[in-house]
Amino acid sequence: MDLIVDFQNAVFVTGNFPLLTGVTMSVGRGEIVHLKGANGSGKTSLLRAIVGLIPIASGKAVVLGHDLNMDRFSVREEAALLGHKTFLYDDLSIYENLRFVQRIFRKPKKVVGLCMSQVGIGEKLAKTKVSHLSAGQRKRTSLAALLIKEASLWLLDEPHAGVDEDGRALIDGLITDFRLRGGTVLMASHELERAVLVSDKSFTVSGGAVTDEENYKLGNKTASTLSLPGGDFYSRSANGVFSVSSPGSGVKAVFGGQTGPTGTGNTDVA
Amino acid sequence: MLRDAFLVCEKDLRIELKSKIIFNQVLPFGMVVMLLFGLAIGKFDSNSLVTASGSLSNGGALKSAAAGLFWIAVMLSAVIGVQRSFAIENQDQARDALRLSALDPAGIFLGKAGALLFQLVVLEVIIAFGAVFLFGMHIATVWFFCLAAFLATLSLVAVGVVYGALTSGARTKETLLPLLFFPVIAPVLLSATKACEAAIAGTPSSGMIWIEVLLAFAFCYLALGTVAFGPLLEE
Repeated sequence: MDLIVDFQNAVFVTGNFPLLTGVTMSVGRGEIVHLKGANGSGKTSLLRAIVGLIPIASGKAVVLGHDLNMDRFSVREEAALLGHKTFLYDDLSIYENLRFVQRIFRKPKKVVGLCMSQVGIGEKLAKTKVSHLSAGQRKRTSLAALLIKEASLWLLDEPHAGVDEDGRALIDGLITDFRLRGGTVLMASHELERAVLVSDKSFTVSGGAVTDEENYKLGNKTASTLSLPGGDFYSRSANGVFSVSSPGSGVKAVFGGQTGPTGTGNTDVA
Repeated sequence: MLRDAFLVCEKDLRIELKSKIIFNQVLPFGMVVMLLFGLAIGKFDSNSLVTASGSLSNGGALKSAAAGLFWIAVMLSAVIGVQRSFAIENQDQARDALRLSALDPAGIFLGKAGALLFQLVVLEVIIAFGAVFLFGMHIATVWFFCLAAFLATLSLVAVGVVYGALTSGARTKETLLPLLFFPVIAPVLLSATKACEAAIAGTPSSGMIWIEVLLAFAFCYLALGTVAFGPLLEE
């Protein structure tokens, strides 16, 4: 399997304080991984370490083919982080914030409008200052910025927090769509039901280390279905097969399950 | 690098245009500082604070100190400007967004310095008019005054952005920045004051040495900032 994240006893330190005390984990291309753990266990630090925001002290850490011991900057061009904070400028409007992002990453101007419509931001709202937005609207703006970057790895820190039911469905839909396009996602979340539904596996983080791994595709969960924006449904059967279907055209894509390996290379798109 | 600098500069100026912090808060602060120094140095008379000619009383003392008072007002305003420049990056951890943006750190430095330079130059023009009005300051050689002011401002913003980045992640950034900033820019204050006094007196040749000092200082800190801003941003 093509490994996107490969950590072996990776220790990350800020000053003299060890934020992560020896992480061993691997994430393959196209996987959606749920990071579990109590507050302060190190989930956010792990996401920040993966994207190269925290220097590595020892161990092996390779992300998207970049060895973080040698270079922790190149990975930032290919990975996107949605943090607790929204990374937005309060005094600028939604559109101005997204235009700044679009120009940084040298994307066509029309991408801004497309991404805004994908997350449900209309033209009128786009002119509103970020400081006047609700938490959910801020999150949608951050999601639009995430989409503009067109990264191949998403690191989502509590993506469902502070978002209404429509927003949560939107986020799950974006994650599912991202996987369809070959993207990989690591998501720290306390929203277990939602996270379990969209994720392939989980890592439990405790005391700054990964202490447990659970494979959601082994059929130990009950079947469930999630409504996606646009009328599609995202389902996971009891044997761990994920599928995306729409009322009109039936099953659009199938992932994983006990019967075969997972990943976009093995995705059966109808 | 220049493209990145332009992007960051435009973004900072756009934020200032919307928030108007510099003009609504920093400019009045600078003017109040000028007025207070004027009151402290000027001699009160029983009738009025301002003489018939429009300047504060005891014009002689104030006139001779005008250049220094002008630069103290600018320097104090610059500290607030620098703090504001980095406060917008800390508002919603936008600093992390800059780190993740893969923008050239040297470009970010030059962009932030450029935006601050523009704001301070506009501020200085208004404060200079204030000095003319309050202290009766008469600038005999305007071009020399402008040259000295530009180089001094360039030095102020170069030092300010370097130390702003250094302290912006610190818990005690509000007090740490002035503590580091003021001692470092003491040579700028001295050189700018001397050069401006030469411009006021109409003897630019006597102030040329101070222009050279300002030029060297600005060059050194611009070079330092361009090289060191990346590591500073990561701290």
